[in-house]
Amino acid sequence: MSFDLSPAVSFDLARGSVSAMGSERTVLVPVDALFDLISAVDSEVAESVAKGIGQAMGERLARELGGVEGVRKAALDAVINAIALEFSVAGLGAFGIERWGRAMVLVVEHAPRLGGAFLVKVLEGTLEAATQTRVSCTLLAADPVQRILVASHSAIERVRGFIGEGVPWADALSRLQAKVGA
Amino acid sequence: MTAKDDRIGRLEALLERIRQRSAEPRAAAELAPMEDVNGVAAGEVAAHWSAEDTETHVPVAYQLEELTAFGAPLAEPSLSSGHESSWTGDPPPSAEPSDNEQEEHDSFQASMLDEYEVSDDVVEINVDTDDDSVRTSVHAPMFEPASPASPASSASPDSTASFEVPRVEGLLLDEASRHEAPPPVEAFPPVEGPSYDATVHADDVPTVSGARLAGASDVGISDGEEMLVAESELVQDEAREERQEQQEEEEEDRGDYVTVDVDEVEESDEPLAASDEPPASSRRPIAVLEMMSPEDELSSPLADLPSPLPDAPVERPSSEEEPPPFTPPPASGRQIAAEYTFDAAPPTLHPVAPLEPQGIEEPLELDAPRQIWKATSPPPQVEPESFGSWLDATLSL
Repeated sequence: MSFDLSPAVSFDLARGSVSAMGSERTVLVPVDALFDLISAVDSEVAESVAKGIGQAMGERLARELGGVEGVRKAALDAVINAIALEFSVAGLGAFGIERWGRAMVLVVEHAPRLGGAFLVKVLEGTLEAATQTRVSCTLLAADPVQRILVASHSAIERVRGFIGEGVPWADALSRLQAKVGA
Repeated sequence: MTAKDDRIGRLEALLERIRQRSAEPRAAAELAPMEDVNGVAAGEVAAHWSAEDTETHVPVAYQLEELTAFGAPLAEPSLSSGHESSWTGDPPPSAEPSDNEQEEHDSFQASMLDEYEVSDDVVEINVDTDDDSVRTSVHAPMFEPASPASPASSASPDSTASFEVPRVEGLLLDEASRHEAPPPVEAFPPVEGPSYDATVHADDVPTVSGARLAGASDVGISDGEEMLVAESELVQDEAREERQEQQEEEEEDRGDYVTVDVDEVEESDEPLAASDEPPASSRRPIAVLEMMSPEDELSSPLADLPSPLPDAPVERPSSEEEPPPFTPPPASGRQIAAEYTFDAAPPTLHPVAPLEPQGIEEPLELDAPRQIWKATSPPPQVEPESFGSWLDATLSL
């Protein structure tokens, strides 16, 4: 799968505007400033900002892949590449996906220091906007790469329970699927 | 008749005239003022004359050394010793000499002739008259063609031809002496002519070894005669020292200009012109090299070399011609845009990082989604074919 990055970001120096992926104007904000902002506000507000960023990406992705149905019908690698492009343009890191059994684990490398919860909410907003499906994500691990599990809301709660108990994130995924498989 | 006999004859005629004059009566009153004017003591009157030994004429010069014996007591015959060189005041009245006087004259002449002292070079006549207390001394040096006395050293009284006659008021030269006044004699003839003996010393002429003096007749050497200057080391040393000193002085004046090997100059054998200037052969190298003027330098072979400087002086532009100082244009965005084509369509930048920052023109191909399987993890039962199936499978957990 290939992407044409030529229209990814446009800098209109005369007008002093930047547009990403043909969308409306985009503001380049320093990571530290954004981190201070999301740290200073309430978690709900921060999650709302993150979801707003994700939703913009999901909407562009859906437009790129032919809408919600196009995204669902699209091959996995195509959707993954499209999400990876959005993340790269937004400066949120290198995006990847892992499949653990049936569990889908999103991997983000070189992510900025905005906190795992922020990236989780960005991904939720991207997937929900691209597929028009309610999804839940939780952070499995943050070092060296951030792994984010995509599952139902109930499954995420159980995994959080496992991890809260000290179960490694991989064992938590096994226990989650064993139950399903058992 | 020889020249000497001729001179003796002339002297005899002169003495005759002197005696005739001394016999003339003179009034004491005419002589009285002279004493008052001169105020000299009574003495003798001496006249010296000298003559050249020439065939054409005998210039006679008189010199009055003393003028005395003029006064009232010296009455009429005493001051009658006026001769050509003497001073007699007004011309005496003409009178025929008496017999006594004629006798005295004859005796006097005879005595004078007896007293002639004729030698090779001097004719001396002494006139002593006891009666009138006048003694006339005539000294005539005879110049021989090769007289050893040089004009420069002819300060002796005999060779002194110029004389001064003391101005004596009241005394006038008689007409005879006035008419017969000798022409002025050049006591010191110019240093030229065959009779002038000029000694040429080799020390005076800076010479070169083996050089030949040309034109030696100009300095007293007979015409056509060539003279070879003896090769003397002393002469060479002195000439070398003079040239070195002169060269050092010129170098000091002009700075370190050219170093000339004096020894090479001395090796020249060119003839030297006898003049006051140093030999040309000794001056030529120094003159050529050191006396070189800026014009000569331009015409020298060195002038052919390219000069780093322009031939014409660089004329600095006057203050009026100087360009105005640079004033940067106002830093307006419009001008910057025009200059850097910001007014045109702005370039669209396409970030390629962080995927492949090294100028990727081909569409970026991302890695396929990874599927990590663990041994403990259950194998997937159904391989989803689309993203939707994958999403549904994970949401089924």
